Amino acid sequence: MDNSRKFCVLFLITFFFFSCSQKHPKNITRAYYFWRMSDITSKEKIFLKQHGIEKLYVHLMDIDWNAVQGAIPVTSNEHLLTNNVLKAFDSFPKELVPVIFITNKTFERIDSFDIPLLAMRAVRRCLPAYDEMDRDYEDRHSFPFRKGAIRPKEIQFDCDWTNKTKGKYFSFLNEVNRLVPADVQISATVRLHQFKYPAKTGVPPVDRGMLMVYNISDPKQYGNHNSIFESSKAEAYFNSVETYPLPLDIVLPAWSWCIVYRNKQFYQVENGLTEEDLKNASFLKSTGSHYYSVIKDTVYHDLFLRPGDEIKSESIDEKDLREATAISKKAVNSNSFTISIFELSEKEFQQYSHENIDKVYSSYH
Amino acid sequence: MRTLIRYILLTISITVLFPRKVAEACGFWVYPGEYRFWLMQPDITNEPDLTPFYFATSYLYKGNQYAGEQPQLEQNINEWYENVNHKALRDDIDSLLNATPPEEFFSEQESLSKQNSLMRYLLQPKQKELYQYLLLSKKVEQIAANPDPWDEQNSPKQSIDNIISDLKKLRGTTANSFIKLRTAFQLMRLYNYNAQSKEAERIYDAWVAPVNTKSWVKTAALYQIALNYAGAQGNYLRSKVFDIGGYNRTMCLVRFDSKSTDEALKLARNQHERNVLAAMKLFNSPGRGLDVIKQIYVSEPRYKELPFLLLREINKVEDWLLTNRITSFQTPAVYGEGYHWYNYDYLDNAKINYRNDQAYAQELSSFLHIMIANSMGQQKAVLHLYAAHIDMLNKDYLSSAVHLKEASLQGHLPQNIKTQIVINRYLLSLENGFNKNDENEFMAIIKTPDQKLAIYDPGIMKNQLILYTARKLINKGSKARGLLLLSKTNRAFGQLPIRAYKTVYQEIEETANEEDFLIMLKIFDKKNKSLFERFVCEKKIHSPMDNYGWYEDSTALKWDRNKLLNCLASWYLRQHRLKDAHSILKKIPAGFFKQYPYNQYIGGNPFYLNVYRAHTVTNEDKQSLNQAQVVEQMLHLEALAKKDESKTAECYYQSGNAWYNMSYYGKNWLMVKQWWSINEPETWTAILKKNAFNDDYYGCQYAKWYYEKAIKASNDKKLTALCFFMAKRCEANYQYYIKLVRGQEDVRHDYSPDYTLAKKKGIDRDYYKLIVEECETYQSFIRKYNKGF
Repeated sequence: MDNSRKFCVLFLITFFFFSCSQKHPKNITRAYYFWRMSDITSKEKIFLKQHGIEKLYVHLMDIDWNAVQGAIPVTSNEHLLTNNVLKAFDSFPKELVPVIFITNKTFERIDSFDIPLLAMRAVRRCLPAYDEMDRDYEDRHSFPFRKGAIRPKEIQFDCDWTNKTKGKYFSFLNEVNRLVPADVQISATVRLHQFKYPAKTGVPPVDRGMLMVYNISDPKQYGNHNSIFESSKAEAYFNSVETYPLPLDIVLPAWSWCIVYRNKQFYQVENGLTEEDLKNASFLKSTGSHYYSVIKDTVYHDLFLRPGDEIKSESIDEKDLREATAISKKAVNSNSFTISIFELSEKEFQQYSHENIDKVYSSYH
Repeated sequence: MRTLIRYILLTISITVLFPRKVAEACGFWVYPGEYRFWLMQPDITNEPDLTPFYFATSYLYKGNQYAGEQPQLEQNINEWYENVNHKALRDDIDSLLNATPPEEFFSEQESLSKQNSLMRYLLQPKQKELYQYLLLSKKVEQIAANPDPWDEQNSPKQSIDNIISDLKKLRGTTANSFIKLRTAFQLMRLYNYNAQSKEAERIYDAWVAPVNTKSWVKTAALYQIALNYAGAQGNYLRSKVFDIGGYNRTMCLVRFDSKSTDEALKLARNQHERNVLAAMKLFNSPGRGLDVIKQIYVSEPRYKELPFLLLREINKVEDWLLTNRITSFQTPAVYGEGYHWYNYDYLDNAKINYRNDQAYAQELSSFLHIMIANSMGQQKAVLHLYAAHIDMLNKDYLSSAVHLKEASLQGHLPQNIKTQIVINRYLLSLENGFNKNDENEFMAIIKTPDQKLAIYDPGIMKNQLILYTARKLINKGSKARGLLLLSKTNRAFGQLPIRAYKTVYQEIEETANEEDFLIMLKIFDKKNKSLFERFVCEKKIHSPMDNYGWYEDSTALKWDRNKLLNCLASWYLRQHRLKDAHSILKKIPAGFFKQYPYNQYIGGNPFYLNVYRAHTVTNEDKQSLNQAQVVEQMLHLEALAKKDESKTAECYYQSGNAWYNMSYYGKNWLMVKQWWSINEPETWTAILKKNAFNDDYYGCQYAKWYYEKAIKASNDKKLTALCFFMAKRCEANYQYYIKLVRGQEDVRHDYSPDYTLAKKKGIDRDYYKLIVEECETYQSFIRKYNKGF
């Protein structure tokens, strides 16, 4: 081999090597979760447009276990309505992903024999005119009149499965996979402990996982922690070297809530309150660390409060959101993925600047 | 685009072609229940399970089919209490059966066993079957709450089948008749939820019908069968349930299909069954029912629903004879058969209708007298009370008093009848005036705690009584006291075209004269007020808005002495008594006029008028006067007109403008009237009457009088032409209002110029023509005479 031929071979090898190892540009889909069971507001519609949100995960229903009737829907929404509201707004197209939350109790109690029926019922609610029974349902609920049901490209299930329930939950997901057409993706939420210990907790048999970078600790526990997110605690979940064996999308926290404790025991969660509301309430006294003590009997936001009750405000500020974004990058395991924020609400997104919301999405590139 | 054009055309045609009265029905609308008048308690026969049928209307009382009591709940508690041999507390039985949702029952077994004596009893080994029954019945309760959670509308359902199987097993093994009957009932319910009605009937025939029991469960089981039938058969079955009583009687009436009554009558096996069906039809009829009552009475004088049916007839008569007399609503709240909520056709024959209703009231009275002659016991007290009331409505006060006395002489009267006797005694006395004694009686009723009255709607009764008394006082010469009292009722006594209830201030404006105002003010200022006076002077003015939770107390009307003074000043203005108006307005602090609505609807220059923009205050106004200042300046113009002849014509022209501005067409209408609507007076022709005030307000006659005075006094051709133009304008407004009063159709303002008249009156034709035809000239003229004196 002469020098020139050697050079050519070396060049080709080098070229081939670099072309293989070169980073592909990342394809990121901007998404938000719309969890509230009421209409989307004008400000929320404008927000979606301003931030170029392409995908909206819409809370479709909660399924819980009923001692008499088994697995039944306890709350439900119509993503068709959300779709029509968005279309009517300015024909701004959004990909809507129906999300079904299923309680762990459901899979603790359900008979394996009934899982295919539950899967069928869930699929009927997600896909348009799935079968005769579904067509009847949609007729009764005036779907054709409202320009027909939406055919989603993705369906998502949200369940905090445990070792005890993973068998039935995964079998449910397998059944769903069997029932839906190949062009509809199935995704499932993955909590941080499930992400860290895939071998122990199992990996859901779905097309994609949605990693929830929040719910860092138990909100029922009385203390000074922020159960939504704390970077020091979150980091511990991301120190594994192994790549999660399922392509992941990521959902970041951007919400707040208040937790009521009675005698230092968990009493209730109230989503509609902010710390600002607590500061302005005459029946409350700030006791520090985001805690407020009730000083007289009050009915507030449908809460029956007694003197001595404590309300803790938990929220995510811009710094928390930035940290969650940074930490979560370690979980990215594909070039094409969705970054989502929980949750779409006027009250919540006004806590963050538009620039910082945009930075969340752009920082993954 | 074509769709848009079609839509526009359709909208226009609806607006133009719809009868005016139908158009009124849109928007603000007073619910008939807010103004229907009654003074006879609708619950005097003590049938609280039929509350939604307390009044004969085309809607349910309270708008709620579940407003009635459910006697089966109490009976069920009693049956359980007996079945557990009094080993559990009644309250615990009630709590476990009626206030523990299935989810809680299944998940909180341990805590329930600690807290609830029935639960503890059931958990004893010997009570296994009874516990098993309760467990299954809670499952049925869960199914009943949400029979088809996935909204699949398919049946049979596995979850239901499972419970059916368990219930059958329990029924097969138990020897307890209490459990046997109840499991059969629960099975029937489940079969119905599973769309297996034949199975439900089979269970009824085999396991329920043969049981000899007084338990509510047997009636409830029959109701389950009735649920599966419509038309005549359904009516017949529901009539059986209704007749037995104790279970869902209201729903039997709600589901009764009146159109199928004749067919249902063919299924009846005896006269009693026919009577029940006839009564059920009558319960669903808002029209006259005496003929049906008479038929029932002839064949079955002791039919138990006769007193209630008669009471409803009395309540109907009260509505027909009193509602449009006591309130300013023109029709009864409900009239005739069917859904005549708006009663549009009532007014076409109002006088004939009223006469017929009076005759009907007489007929009702005659029938009651016949019934009284044949009645006994407690029914006698009720019938005497009815007769006393209807005779009072018929103005036969002597007979009314006799029957009232008879009613009170009957023994063992329930409290609600005693209350009604007290009320009627007061009402009879009120016919002779409102003396100190009546005042005390009235206040005694009003101040009696609601609970002590022992009637269903004590609040409404008190408010009706206040309204009735107020109206009587107003009509019988004690107007001031009546008007003050009117502020204490929250019944609707009228509505305004401005989408609002009429309030006492508007009633004062329409009714009070100078003397009344002075008496009212005197009562307000009195130091040692009587109980009645203290009551009527209480700050808060009540209105139907009291019943709307979202309506804040801070925005509610209150008595305001300055507002009352202002009303008096308005009254003087309506009488053209400027000096008196001024002397009153001087007593009102200036700050009063700076508040709403005076700051918004009185202002600008009252003596400047651009007739094409009469409602608008513009820069051309150059000044803005409040109500007191307007009157002060008007008085100044009057004086100047007399003092300085060179200015007389201009002063009169400006006075004409001031009075025009106080008409419907001007910017200061609030000085003489409390409300204004863009659709007035066209939309409210029915209440538009010709009177001196309306002549000025809609007909601008007083303004015209001033313009004519100005013409007479003027040497200025331009001013004369302008005043002639304005006088003509006033006349056109007057003609328009008169045509509306006469009820003429398609009335339009005729603002065309009248050159012949102008010539006859010696008006300069050229100036007049310019004013009429040239906008610029008109404006230059009004600008020229817009000056201060």
